Amino acid sequence: MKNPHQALIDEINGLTNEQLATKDIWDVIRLVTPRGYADRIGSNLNIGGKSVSGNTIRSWGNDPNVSGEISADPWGRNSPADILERYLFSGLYPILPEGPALILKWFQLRLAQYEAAQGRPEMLNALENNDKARALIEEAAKLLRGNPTDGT
Amino acid sequence: MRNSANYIDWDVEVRYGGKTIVWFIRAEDKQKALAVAALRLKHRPKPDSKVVGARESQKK
Repeated sequence: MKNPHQALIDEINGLTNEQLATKDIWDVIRLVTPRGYADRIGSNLNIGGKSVSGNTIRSWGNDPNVSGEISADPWGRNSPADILERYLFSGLYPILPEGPALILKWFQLRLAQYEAAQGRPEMLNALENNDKARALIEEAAKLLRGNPTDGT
Repeated sequence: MRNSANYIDWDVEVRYGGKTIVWFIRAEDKQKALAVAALRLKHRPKPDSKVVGARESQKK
């Protein structure tokens, strides 16, 4: 029998950028919540000194626009990801576009560290190589401009 | 490409801020589950915190 996580992972890996970009954040959260694991995700979290219930985790993946008999849980609009999205793109981006870019880079670095802990250092290595490459390019640009470099 | 489908569910016992709690971590093996927990403690440090141990989760 196929591992139950495999179908979900196949769906995630099969998404094109275009498909992902059209999704709302609640739909992305719904996608990344494996069936039967909401309680464990909530138990790992600690917000305000308490763990979060599986129902709350599941509600973060609800469509907040659904009305009528199937009423969406109000948490659906208030997931941490939804709040972060609003902070980045309603609040910060109009004021300082570099801000969201820095925060997302910080998240990428953090993810790379966890990937390395799981035995997959490729992302961390790539990010470190980016830094080295950028330093080399800056050094070369200084030389081309005829400016003194930091090295001797 | 990353594929965590065959990861194992681990219950990782952690002393965190003086309280004993369990984190559920999916990882290839016990050492990697412990490494993820240790990194989490490094990122969100509190006094009186350490990774205690891990065992395969019995919860299905």
